[in-house]
Amino acid sequence: MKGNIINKNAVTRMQAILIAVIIVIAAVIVGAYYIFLKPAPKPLIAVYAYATTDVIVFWDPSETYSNEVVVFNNVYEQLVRYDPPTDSFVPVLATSWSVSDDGLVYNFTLRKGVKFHCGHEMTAHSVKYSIERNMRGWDGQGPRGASYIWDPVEQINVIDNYTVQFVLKYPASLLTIASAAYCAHIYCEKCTEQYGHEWFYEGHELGTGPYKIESYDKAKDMVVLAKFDDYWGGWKGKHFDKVIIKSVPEWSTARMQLEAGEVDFVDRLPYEDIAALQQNPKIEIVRTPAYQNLLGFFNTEKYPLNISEVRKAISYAVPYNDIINTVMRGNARQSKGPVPYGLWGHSEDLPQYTYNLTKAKELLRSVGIDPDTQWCTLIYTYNAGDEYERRAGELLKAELTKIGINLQLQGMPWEQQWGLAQSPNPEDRQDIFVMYWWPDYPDPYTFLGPMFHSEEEIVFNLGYYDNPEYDRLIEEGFAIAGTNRTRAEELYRQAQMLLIEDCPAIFFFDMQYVRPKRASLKGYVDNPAYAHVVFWYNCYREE
Amino acid sequence: MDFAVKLRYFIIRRILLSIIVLFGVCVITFFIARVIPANPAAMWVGAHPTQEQIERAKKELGLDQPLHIQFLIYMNKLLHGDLGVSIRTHRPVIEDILSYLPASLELVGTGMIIAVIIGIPLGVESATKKDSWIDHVSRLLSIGGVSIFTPWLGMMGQLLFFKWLGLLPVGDRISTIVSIQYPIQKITGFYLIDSILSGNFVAFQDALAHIILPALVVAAYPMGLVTRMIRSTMADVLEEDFIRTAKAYGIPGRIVAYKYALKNSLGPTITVLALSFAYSLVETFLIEMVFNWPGLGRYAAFSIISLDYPAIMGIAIFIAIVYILLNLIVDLLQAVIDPRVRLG
Repeated sequence: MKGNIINKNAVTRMQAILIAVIIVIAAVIVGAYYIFLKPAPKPLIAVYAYATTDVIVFWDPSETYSNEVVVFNNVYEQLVRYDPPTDSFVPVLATSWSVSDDGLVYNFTLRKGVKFHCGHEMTAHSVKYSIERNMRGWDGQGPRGASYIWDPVEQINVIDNYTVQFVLKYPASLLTIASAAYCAHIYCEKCTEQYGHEWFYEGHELGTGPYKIESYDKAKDMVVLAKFDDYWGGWKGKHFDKVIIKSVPEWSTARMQLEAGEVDFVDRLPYEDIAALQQNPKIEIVRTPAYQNLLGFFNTEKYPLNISEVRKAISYAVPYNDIINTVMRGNARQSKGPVPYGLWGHSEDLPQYTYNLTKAKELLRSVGIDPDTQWCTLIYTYNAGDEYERRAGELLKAELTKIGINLQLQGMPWEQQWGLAQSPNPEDRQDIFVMYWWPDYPDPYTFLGPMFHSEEEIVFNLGYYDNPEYDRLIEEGFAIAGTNRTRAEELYRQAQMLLIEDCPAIFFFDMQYVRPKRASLKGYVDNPAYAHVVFWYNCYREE
Repeated sequence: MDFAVKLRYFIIRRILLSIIVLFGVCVITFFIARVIPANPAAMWVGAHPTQEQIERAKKELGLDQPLHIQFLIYMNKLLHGDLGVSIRTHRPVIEDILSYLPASLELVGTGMIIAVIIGIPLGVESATKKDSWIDHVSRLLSIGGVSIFTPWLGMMGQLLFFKWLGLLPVGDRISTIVSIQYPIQKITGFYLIDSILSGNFVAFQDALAHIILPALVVAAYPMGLVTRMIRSTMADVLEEDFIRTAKAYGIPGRIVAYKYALKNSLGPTITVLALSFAYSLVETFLIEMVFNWPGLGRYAAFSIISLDYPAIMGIAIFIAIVYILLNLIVDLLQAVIDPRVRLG
């Protein structure tokens, strides 16, 4: 009995000691935690909220054609970069270049001492290998992604380690192609040979750019870029150590994070939010003419839009200014033909259709249609969820009622909208197909070709326009753009005149890119040739 | 027959039935996903594909085969555990699902725990003190929980706790900066558990702050369900003789309610909870969108928007399997908890 009591006391004492020991250990851990973890220097990190899903779709630089453009243009580099305000090419991996008089041979002198992120040196062999692999396709089955842009290239020759020669089939504008945002990046030939296609998809890259991919989290849909210490441009001056590019598809979330200072840059927000953000002194809005426009293709193979007077009448019934002012809140301008304002090949002297109901009615009467009674129903398809396309449609609908047309708006997922437009029977298709277009590289042909050149199978010529004269003009323009830009521009102008005359589409408006960012983010210039890309090397933060 | 033999028969029968159900799910989703006019081959290539590229992609994806052959190829792959490659993300669907699953499980799991912790006491109190103020409050909460559009509730939460009070983050699973400076070691895939296991308290605190709001929103619906379920079943149980007997013996009301009456009303509640768990895994997609939560629901929603048929099918099959398994587990649990339930 007595022993028991002593024992009990002993246990209590033991417990007391135990508790004391635990407290000491805990104190040491907490202390160590504050000593070792607290004063760690914080790297300078920038955050880009990307209003899309899937930050990276294609990992192999030979098949890029999607959202990864935003990451890859910081990780990889081209021979040259296009600068729209001066319409000139800035040296990047090539320091200088020369063109033969016939425009068929280009010699590029390469920058010396450029290292890939894997440590190998960039040479003429890398250029030849990268572009040839792009043209061949990684599996040898033909070009993938945007690699078809290299089609004019006949042969690539290595003259010496730092000189590479491109021989063309026809005098296309090679510099424009070499500056493309997709599939024009130079990557390490040695490592690509060694590791192969699948390795890229494990989250690897082989660029020369100022930043390398430090990590990629597919669940969070987020890429972390870290500066590449051996970058040829050096790291003097102010730069970010790391850049986070994460997908934030929900606009309200992106906006709140921008306002809270959690992100530095959002690539796009609804114009209503932009208008509200403009009042915030911590936010800056950067506006640039975009190489992007909105078009409404007429189904030229189906009554009544197979009649050009009807197409013109509708073009005269579009309330262009109302759409620009109320739907786009002024962030757009009425198109003049399909080549957008700011891109070469755009002609300011092209005629425009203006809002004029009297003229619209006259045109309809001239083909025996009475515009004062409802005489037909047309279907307008647009990408469901795109409020601008929908509201432009609503305004158009109100006007078309006045000339006897009942317009039915049909929002569909893009895939479905496009699938319907490709139905074999023209009668099954929509009447007006609305979509945005932007270039794969800054060349007017990427607007004039895919959307209006005749096609054997329907891809993007969704007005089903077929005019041999037009085809001839743009083909000729494309072929001489490299040697005689003025002549090419003239041919493109004539081609666009035909489009305006034949009216296979409504040319609604050319857009502006409207980029909201923190005012403290400096050095950002929007380059519409590289849509949505922030060149982070040029950026820094200044509170 | 004794219980063990019966149990075995029951399980075998259910598994056989499940296979038929799964096959039905496959057939229906496969053909529905394919009859919609769409051009997956073009999407596979990228923004502005050329005709040649589309033709090549059709071959690569097997879209040049007749539909029934495509279905057979798909089923054959499925039997080998291959769900195909997503058209949108270009990654194997199974990889995609597994990488988004932990985020959803963590969110829905936390939501369910909150629903149970709040819902059960609320239901019990409400049943024992009928028409008192607590009963009215609990009825209001439960009706609100099941009928309010939860994404809207989420936005209101963001407005209140992020914008006005500045207490909680607006979205994401963890702050971007924290995830870079204090990366969470991947053990289970649940941030809350992993960060504790690896002693990463900064990340834990941050992950906890991020999950509170979306988990509360996810909890709203099952909480309402649980409260109402408990309240109505308890009301019946409380009328029964054995409760009166227990009371007559002088057992305190609290013990009668929680120990004797609650046990008898848990059965249906468990069923409802388990089913709403499976349901919530993808049905929370709007909540996941609002909070930018990288979960399965958000993935499902984006796949549907872009008509990414391998992903849509993968998710449909995956959810069907979860449903079937949970149903089976619930039925078995019921049989164990309540001997009156007959397996049949």
